[in-house]
Amino acid sequence: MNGRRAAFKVATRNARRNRKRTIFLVLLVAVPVGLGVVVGGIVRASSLSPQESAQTALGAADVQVYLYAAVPGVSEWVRSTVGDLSPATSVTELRQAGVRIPGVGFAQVWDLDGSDPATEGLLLLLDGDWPRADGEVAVSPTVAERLNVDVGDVVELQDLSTNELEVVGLISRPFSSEGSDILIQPRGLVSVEGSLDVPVESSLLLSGSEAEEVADQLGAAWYNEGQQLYWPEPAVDPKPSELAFLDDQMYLLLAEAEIYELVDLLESQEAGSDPVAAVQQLASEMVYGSGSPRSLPDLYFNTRTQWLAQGSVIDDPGFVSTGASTLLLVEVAFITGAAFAAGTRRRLREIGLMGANGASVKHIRITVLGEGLLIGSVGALSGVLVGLGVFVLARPLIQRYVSRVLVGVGVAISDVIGPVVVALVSVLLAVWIPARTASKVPITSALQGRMPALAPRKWVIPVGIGCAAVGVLLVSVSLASESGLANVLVGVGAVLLVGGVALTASPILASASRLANQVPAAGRLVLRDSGRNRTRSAVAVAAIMVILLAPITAVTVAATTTEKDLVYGLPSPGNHLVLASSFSVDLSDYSNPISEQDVAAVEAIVPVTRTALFDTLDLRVATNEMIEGQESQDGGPVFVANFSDGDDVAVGTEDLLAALGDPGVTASIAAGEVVVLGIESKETRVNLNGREYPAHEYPVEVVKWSMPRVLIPEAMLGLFPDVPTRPIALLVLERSPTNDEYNEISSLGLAFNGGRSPMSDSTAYLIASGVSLLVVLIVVSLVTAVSAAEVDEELRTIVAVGAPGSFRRRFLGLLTGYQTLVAMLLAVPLGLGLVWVFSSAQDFVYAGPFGLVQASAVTVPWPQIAVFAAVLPISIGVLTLTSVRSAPVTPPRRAS
Amino acid sequence: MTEPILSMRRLGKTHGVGAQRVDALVSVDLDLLPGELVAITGRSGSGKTTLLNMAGALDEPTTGEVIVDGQNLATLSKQELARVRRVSVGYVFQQFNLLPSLTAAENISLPLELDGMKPALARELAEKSLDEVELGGMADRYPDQLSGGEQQRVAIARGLVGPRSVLLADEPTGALDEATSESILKLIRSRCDAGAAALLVTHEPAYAAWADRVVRLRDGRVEGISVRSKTPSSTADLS
Ligand SMILES: Nc1ncnc2c1ncn2[C@@H]1O[C@H](COP(=O)(O)OP(=O)(O)O)[C@@H](O)[C@H]1O
Ligand SMILES: [Mg+2]
Repeated sequence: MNGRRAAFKVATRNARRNRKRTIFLVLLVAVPVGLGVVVGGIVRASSLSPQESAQTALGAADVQVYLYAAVPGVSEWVRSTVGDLSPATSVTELRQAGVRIPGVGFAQVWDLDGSDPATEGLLLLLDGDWPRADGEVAVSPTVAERLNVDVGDVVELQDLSTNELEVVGLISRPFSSEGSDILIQPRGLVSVEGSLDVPVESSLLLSGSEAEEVADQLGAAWYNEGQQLYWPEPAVDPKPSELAFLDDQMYLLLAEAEIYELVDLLESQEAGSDPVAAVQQLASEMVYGSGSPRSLPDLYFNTRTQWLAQGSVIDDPGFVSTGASTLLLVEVAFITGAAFAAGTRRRLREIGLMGANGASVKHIRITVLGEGLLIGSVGALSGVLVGLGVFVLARPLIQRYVSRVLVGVGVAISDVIGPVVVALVSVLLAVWIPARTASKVPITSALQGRMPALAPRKWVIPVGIGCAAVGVLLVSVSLASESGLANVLVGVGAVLLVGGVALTASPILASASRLANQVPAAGRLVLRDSGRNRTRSAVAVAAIMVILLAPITAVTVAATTTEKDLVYGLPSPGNHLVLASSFSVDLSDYSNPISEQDVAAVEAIVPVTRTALFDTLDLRVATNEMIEGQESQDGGPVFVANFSDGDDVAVGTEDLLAALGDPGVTASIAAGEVVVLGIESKETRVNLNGREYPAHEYPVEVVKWSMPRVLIPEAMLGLFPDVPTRPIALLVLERSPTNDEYNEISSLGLAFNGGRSPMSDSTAYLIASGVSLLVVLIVVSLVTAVSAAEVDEELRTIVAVGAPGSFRRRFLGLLTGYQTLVAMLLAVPLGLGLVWVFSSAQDFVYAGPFGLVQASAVTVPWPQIAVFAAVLPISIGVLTLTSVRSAPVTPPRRAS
Repeated sequence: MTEPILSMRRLGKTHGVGAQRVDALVSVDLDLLPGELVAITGRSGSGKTTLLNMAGALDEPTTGEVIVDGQNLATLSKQELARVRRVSVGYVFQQFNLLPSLTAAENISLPLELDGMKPALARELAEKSLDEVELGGMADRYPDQLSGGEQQRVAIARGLVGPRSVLLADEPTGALDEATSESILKLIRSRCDAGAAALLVTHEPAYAAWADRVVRLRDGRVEGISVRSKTPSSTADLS
């Protein structure tokens, strides 16, 4: 078509003439794009690409064969099998040990050969030389700093060598300048292995073009014949016939005494109604339950191909940058749409003039779209430049944050393309409707500045509802599927759902405007204005609706989560601290019992009101809810979470009762009753080691997962003579610890829980309401700003016939309040619908000691939502009313 | 006899339906020859603007036909109608004729450029056109830097730029003082003397005297046509 260039010229001139508006919109576009670029850059800096991840694990090799629970001989078996399968594939053994070094803390000790091509890239030599002989060592910068040594210095590392060691080099893992690593001479760990109190972890690196194929065959050979060679002899042979149902491999891991304990349990009363299940549970507790689970020797494979396939779209920096900017650009698109809708009305006469001079429908569309394109591309370009600028300026900060030196720009083209494309597309989409509207106005109407009031298009409502329905369908179907495409489809479905509902804003405003006759002057004008200028007002409504979705879904999800958490007990109080165990240097795990000193150490950090150091009993516990027939929706069994990780029963000592401070609990224990620290006050039953006892449940806030839920009177201890006990401590603090205090407690080497209260629903609600009020206000004021000129033209006439200047404030206040209200009416069902659709696909059950909840159940906080829905529109209206200016009383100025 | 450049046959236009139905134009016949200036007069609401809109392909007649440059507008597509507005007829309204973001020359060359003409050539023709309305030095001024009379001159220049040969002027002097109005009429007259054809809507009888023919409309019908043999050299001649 001819004349495009002329039409585009008019577009650029219009953009230049409305300089303020253009700059405003360009900035609106630039900010999200810039933000996206920065966020993408940070993600790129802080995450490893699949190639880089592969290098950190494999070096230059192709397969890592991890020897799990290795026993002597497995490594040789692998070597010889690989040798048989493919002589061309080389095998390198990689040894590592996590050693506690005084003055350094945990350090990873390596003994690879720096000149071996297979391990190349696992460690980088920053300075000096690789250690080659006994007495030589290389350390990472962190270790060097902590030990205050440099290349050429001498260090003593008693665990690794009785002699002094010379630091011959500085090494580092790739892509991270932090980390404590120590490299000793090749095969050095083999000789010190016996003197280390930690195990040396061993894996074999296969390299060569056939390595991955070899790995497959190696795996098959291992499962068919290899692993049996290294299985231990059963402790009792043959397996007692009563235990025939026990898994063979699990049986191999049981000690002799354990096997007899299981046989006894099977025959005793304690096993309850389902002895087989009780035995299986106990057996698996014996094997896996302790701090160091037992396992049969096994091989795990990690291939380069697997590493390369791992990068998911979600972690991709380009994806993140696009996502980050898209959220904001949606709002920008709405505001731009409103600006252009208003602008088109003001420029109707110019559009008519162009038509009279032979501009075709397409020419007119180009003049509007061209302006959008210009704003979009200038905005996107400046956004990219600003984003890059910020990223470059903030580089030192970012490098510190990701502890990695950034090379090059640090932002890839692919991080930039997404935001730019989304910016262009969203602005063009936003401008498309005003462009269409402008080109459809008959020239004679346009010349008179009249825009014919168009009847709402009949297709809008069915199409809107159709879109929403397809969206719901897409989301629920995709959530149920596992494929990678599903993530994308879920997103598309959600967009369709939201878009479909947004479409209905326009016809709703049109029908509401029919009620105009029944309301007083300002209200009537508001209804009429919104009905007549539907493009602008529907866009405002949709923009506000999208924002309101966030608080509505947030409070609903919060209420739903609270409801589900209740099956595990009341929320943890922020001022309770439960000390479970302390670190054992010998075993290098948290297995030491809590002592008076541990308690004193915490008391020295944070003010404590009451302390109870009390015994817990290792009993198997089940409550009423767990005993009685539990079935999930589809009739299958449900997984029932245990009371807490380990010790579920506590002895109700005086100290403990005082610390809990619940008179009901104290009275019950005094009366010799079993007490459950639960969520309501009621009689219940508790099953301890297979025997049922009557009990009383009280609603008591205790630290979830750590605090035993069942208290027994001391007198009952006699019932469990052989049950091991463990002391733990409950500290009731004056207040929640500060972050500093919390960190200080963390450094004591204690396993502890609590001291942090979850955000309460009402806090979450207040924050969500406050933030949404603010964001809605911003959007409302932006939309009002871009359409004020148009509104003012109509208001001038009204003021001219005698309405007071304050009429403008009343009008704008009502208008924004009304738009917020309509947005709210759409957002509430849509938000709840979104939560419902997203949770409907979850077909499991949350089961805890205090009940069962279907994961798909949604708890709607109706009172909060009702208050929010009523108060927000009023607040927005009142805030607008008090902040906008009255109408100027000057005579109307022409729009030219 | 020369062919008319614009002719209307039994032209009728009805706005609205039912109770709001208005017969704005009823069976009007009118020919416009090259070089001719035809004035259309009548009271407000008599259908003058409606008639001009039909002639300028801005609106479609309800009955009858309009033939411009030998083309029956009823047979043309929307695209082709837009082209008629670019290359055959030019419009001048009472005021605000110019796009405020374009200079005088750009306003004039707009229809040519929309028709795909090279900007340089269009600019050349626009400058020639500006010379013809005696605004030679004002090519690069923006509309808000021009007086009302100058703006109307630019609009006339645009109405007759390049291949355009029919000027449709709807009360072009309505917003101007008497002296300026007179110079505008003189300009239109001289453009017609140079070969252009013009339909001039005016309700000032004195201005109608500049025309070769005067068509009086009343309630959408032609009430009468008067033909002048001699044109005055100034309004003074008429009084
Ligand atoms: N778009 C329209 N809708 C309805 N009636 C119209 C429209 N345009 C013009 N009219 C009516 O047609 C008649 C002629 O109008 P018009 O041609 O503008 O008269 P003039 O230009 O002579 O003042 C008037 O009665 C006017 O009210
Ligand atoms: Mg008129």
